[in-house]
Amino acid sequence: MHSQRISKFEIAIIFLLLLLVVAPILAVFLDLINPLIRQDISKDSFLTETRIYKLFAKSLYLSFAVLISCTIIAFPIAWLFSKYSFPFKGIFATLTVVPLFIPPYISAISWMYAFDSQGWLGFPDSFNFISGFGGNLLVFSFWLFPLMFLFFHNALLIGKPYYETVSLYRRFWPGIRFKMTLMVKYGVIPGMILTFVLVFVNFSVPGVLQLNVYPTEIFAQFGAFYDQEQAALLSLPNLIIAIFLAVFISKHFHRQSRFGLLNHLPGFQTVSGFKLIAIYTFFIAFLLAVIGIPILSLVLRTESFSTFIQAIADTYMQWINSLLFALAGTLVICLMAFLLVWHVRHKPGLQILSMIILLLPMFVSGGLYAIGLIQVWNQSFLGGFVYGSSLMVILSYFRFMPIAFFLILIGISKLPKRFEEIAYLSTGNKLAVISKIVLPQIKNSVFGALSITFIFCFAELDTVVLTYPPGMETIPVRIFALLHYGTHQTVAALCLWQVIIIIAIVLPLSGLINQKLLK
Amino acid sequence: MTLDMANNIAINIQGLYKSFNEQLVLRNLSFEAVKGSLIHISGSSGSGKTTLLRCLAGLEKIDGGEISLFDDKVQSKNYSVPPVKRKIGMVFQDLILFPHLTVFQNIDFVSKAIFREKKERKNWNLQILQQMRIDHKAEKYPHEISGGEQQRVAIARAVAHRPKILLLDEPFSHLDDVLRYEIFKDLMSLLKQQNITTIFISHENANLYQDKFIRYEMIEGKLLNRSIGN
Repeated sequence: MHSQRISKFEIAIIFLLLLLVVAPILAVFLDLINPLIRQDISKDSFLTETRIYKLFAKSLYLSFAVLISCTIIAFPIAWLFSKYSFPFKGIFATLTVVPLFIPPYISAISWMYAFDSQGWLGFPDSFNFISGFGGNLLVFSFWLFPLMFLFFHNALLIGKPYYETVSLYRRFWPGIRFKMTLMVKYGVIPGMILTFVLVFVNFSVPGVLQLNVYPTEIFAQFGAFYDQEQAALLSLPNLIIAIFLAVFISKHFHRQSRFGLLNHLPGFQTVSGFKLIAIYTFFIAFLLAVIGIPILSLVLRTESFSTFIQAIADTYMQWINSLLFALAGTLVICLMAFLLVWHVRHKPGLQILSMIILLLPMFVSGGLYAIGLIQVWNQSFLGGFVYGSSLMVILSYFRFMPIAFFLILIGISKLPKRFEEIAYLSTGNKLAVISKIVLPQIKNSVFGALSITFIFCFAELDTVVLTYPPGMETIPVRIFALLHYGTHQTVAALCLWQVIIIIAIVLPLSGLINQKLLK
Repeated sequence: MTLDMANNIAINIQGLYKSFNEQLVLRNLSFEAVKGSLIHISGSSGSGKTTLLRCLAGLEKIDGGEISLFDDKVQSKNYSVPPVKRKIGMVFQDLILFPHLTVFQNIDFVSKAIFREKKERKNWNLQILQQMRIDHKAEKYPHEISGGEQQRVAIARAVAHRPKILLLDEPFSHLDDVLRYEIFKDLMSLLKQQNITTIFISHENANLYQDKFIRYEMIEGKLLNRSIGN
């Protein structure tokens, strides 16, 4: 059905990917070559300041701390879900995943409102741990533990027959060590890398919770001092780490397929009595802390229902912008991701390269990607066609293409190629094969990709804050601006609206989440 | 039962019950196997064959009854000897070869249980691999060898710690008849040499396997139709 020759269509996709995804990153670093050769930068470079190294070390330290705390939270929950069957398991599973979809800066704002001197769990300023390392650790951990949970759960479920085999030949403790090696090597390394990177490149949470880390420095150099060269120079280590981790994660994704060669998954143990009460108590208390406290903080800080309504009336243009941008971005990204998945499916040799290309923009900081976008598209011969137009916002969302790509790839890899081949033999029409045979069978994955990409686009702040055209502010940018003006009631109300919209999108996904978690 | 016969019993199951989500899979199952015997259990999918093997290996809790191996009680409703202490080797339907270990390392992982000394262990591993005619692939990873070769490795690994009992859960289901027969012949010579009590399950009747099997059929969680093979 498919020749090994690269078609014009595939060349077009690769060209688009290079132009839209890779070019912005390359542009930033190509621009550095001249000054570096002339040694203009090195004389009073930021790279010679120990402060910068301290910030870098602090970012690494924070990322590792979050990784450890996410593992500590996620593993026992994943273990419970992979081992036991109990009533309402589906609802608990959905609620456990919800915090991943709540934008981290909203979470940061809500925890700040809970713990500041006016908050309902308020501490005096001198004891307030939330603005600082502790607060960042808490917010990042509560945001990213569901990601680690999904990876641990998958590793525990798929790996169960392997762990059982180990138990036939190894005593408890040596067995545990071997099982952990298997689980990490084949199951959770991609999740660990994603968690690490998402903390390492994030500037919005440290920005809200007043912790000076490496990404905030990059953002400040460009956003506040307009020093593009220094921002790019500071981003060099990010790029090196990003390339290294992107290669690593892509190879792991490839290797993971060897772990899942099994025909059946083992069953769950049914729980009752005291164990069931203990599980319910744990989940209710935990979910109240993770979801309940932030939402309650926002509700209390909004103060009145009229503020809640007035907030949306005052910002209706930003809401329209956000929804339209996110919708357009989602459709473009998912379409491109699908075409790329299709291309990779029939030329598996290109899978690792495609993954690396897609992961790069997500793995470098949002601020850096914004600088690159401006550099590529702010060209006089283009006039204001791209730079200064809404297209810049949509291009900013391309950072999230790996999410759509991986979700669709996972869906389509379970579909035997025989289906396509049989359909192609009888119709001879590739479009009909895709629309009538492939898409209906991977509709869950596509629906998941559309919804989750939409949520991420809708909440994007790190890149859009630097690329949005005049008068086309999005809601996250508005919230971020209002936060600095100190209008906390409105900020709380807008955050609350955003959470409501996101939960309304996530809930229909619960069927999909349950199908993946509870099969 | 005479005293001699009682001492000769390798597996003794009395009144075994096992259910999943309130669906009874094994019902009041009783069964005995003498040391060194070859048992074949056939039965349709879902009849409880795999569950029986998993209970014997200690991978499942049981809801009632008792399992004894070589006169030692290993499992009842509230008591269970860990799988590693039962001296059982098992070949799963999906083989479950460790993907990050080479063929040699997969065997070595198991033989460590009986050989502390490295050189001795290495010789033993190579001997097992030779017997299963897979020694030339010792340094390959599981994904680098064929399905038949993977099958040979899985069997070699299952006997590498000199188990007293070997459980084979449809080990040849993915192979064609010729390959199945070839591997089966090698397996039989290995079993005869080591005198291992073996339970072998498959959903088809065991006409293909021409050795001295004691044959059972599993129907709705009970073992029936005992017959002596050719």
